Formats: sequence, C-alpha cells, structure tokens
Amino acid sequence: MKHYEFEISQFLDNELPADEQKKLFMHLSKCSECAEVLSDFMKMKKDVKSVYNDMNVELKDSSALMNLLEPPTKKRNSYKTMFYFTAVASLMLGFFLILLEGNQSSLKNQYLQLQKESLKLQNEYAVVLNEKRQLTEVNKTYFDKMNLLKTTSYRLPTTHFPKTSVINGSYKAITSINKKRIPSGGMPVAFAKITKEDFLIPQIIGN
Amino acid sequence: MNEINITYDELSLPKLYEKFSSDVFKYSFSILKHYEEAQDAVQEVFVKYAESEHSFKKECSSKTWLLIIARSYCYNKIKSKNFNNERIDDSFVQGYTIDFETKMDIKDALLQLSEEHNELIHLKEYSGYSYKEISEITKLSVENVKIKLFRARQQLKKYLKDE
Repeated sequence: MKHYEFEISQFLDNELPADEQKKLFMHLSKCSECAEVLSDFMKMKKDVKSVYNDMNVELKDSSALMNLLEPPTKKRNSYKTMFYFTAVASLMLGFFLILLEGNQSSLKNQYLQLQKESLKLQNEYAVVLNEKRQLTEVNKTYFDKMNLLKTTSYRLPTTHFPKTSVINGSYKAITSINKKRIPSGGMPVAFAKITKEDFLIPQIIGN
Repeated sequence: MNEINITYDELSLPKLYEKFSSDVFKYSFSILKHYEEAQDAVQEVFVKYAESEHSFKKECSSKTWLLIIARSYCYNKIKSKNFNNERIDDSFVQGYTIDFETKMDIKDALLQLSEEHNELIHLKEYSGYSYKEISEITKLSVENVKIKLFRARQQLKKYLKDE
C-alpha cells in the first residue's frame, strides 16, 4: 500500500492540488500510519513556529550600522547647508561676473566702433569744411567781381531808355529811308538786321 | 526565474531594521546555529543591504532581499575558517527561551538538522513563505524545495522520535 507522506507535507504547506487532496483524504481515512504522520507534522509545525516566536532576540549595535541607521545630526546638516549655500552663491557670483565682463567687452566694442565712426565723420566734416571754405572763397571772388561790375558798369537810367513809341517811330523812319535806298527788285537788307538791341547798344556805349 | 507575488515595500533603512531585523536574526540563526554569529550576521546584512541598495532591482520584497543577503553571508561564514563550530552548543540555550518540558526536544532536533534543512524548515514553518518564495531565496527549483522540505520534516521527525 502506497503511503502519502510527501503529499501530507505539501498539504500542510497549502501546495497540494485539490484533486490530490481528495485522494489524500480518502487514503487518510484508511491508513493510520499516514494519519499519524499528518499529526506529527502538524505538531512539528506548531512547535517550530513556537520555538522561533519565543526566541530571545538581542541585537548588537555596531558603529557601522548605527551610522547608517541614525539620522544625520543638525550640526552636520547645517554644515552641509552652509556648504551648498556657499557653493551656489559662488556659482551665482561667478556667473554675474562673467556676464558683466561680457557686457563690458561688448560695450567696449561698441565704444570703439563709435569712436571709429566719429573719426570718419570728423574727416568727412573737415573735407566738407574745406570745400565750404573754397566755395566761400569762390563766392567771395564772385561777389567782389559782382561788386566791381556794379560799381564799374553803367546803370541804365530808365528815363534814357527810349520809349516804345520813339523806337517804333525811329524804326518807321529807318525803314522808310531804307525803302528808298533799296533798289527795285531787291530786298531791304538793313530792315532784316535791325533789332531792338541795335538801338540799345549804341546808347549804352554812348553813356 | 519564478514569478513571486510580492510587491516591493519601499521603506527607509531604519524602518526596515525595526521591522525585519528579528526575522533576519532568526533566519541567520537557523543556518549558523550560533547566537553571536547570528547577531553579527544581522549587522553585516543591513550594512550590505545599504551598500547594495542601488543594485536592488525591486523584483522581490525588501524582506526577501534581506534574507537572500543573509543566506549568502551565513553560508560564506560557515565555509570560512573563522567560523567556530564548537560554540554552537554553548550558545544554543541563549537562542531558545522555551518551555523546557515541552520544547527542549524540538530545539535539539533542529540543531541536529543540516543547515539547509533547518533553513528550509525556518522559511516554511516560521516565515510562512510559499515554495516559490523559498525557491527565490535559496535559488533551488520549486520541485527541489518541495522534496527537500519533505526530507527535512522526515529528518526532524526522526530526531524527535530518537530523543
């Protein structure tokens, strides 16, 4: 007859499948030896648990473990905080210094560029000033000449300028004279050449 | 690898120590059978746990991880030359504060078991782990755990009968 000690062990551990449990129960009802094994195993289970539960546990406190278990002290914390604070402050200061230096260099560049532009403009201004001076001189010469002309030239008096009626009269008189002088069949030459200026020029020269 | 239905319990080291140091001690004692050595084991196990916390993949519970470390430590200790087997019997009484009339036999019988059998009995009867969980801790197959645990029980029963 097959005994079920192995199955009893699994049954006590709640690891025996349901169909095998049925077979075990059927067997236990017939086999007193296996029933005794079940009883023994159950008692052992209970006793072993009791032995371990009642075990007096006194643990050692090693320094290595205590360092791991103890929370860090306030002093250490404050040092740590101070360290991190200083580190952060230093970093920020460094960052600002770099930023300032960068700004300064960019400003310096801008200043140099402006200085260059200023010099360029100064040169251009000098050139323009020179041109202006030359023009002023030219202008002055011109004005001098103009003044000279004004002083030396004849101012045409309006009263001496012949009136249109007089000119027309003279014109008619000349043309009549010319007509008389013109040979038959030919064109009066003098007629065509005589203009108003012909009358003005002799008078200016005369004055 | 067998799947274990244990969820990872994220506890700080002091909390883990408070909760599981006693279990680690008892488990270590079941293998080492030496009170002071088990005390040392607890220290070492928690220090090693703290050191290896980053490599803990959280596939098992913290307690299982602690027991795995404890097991490794204890068997290495047994193998080492420094381990003093002679002190086992001296420290035994210190370990078990039991009702002498009824439980003296069982503690003697437990001490006579091999380290592996004693360990399996402890993991099953006291810690209440399933075969899968025991398999995870001991690196034995589930079938092997089943058979070895049965043999450990037979052995324990035999020692008890002899006494």
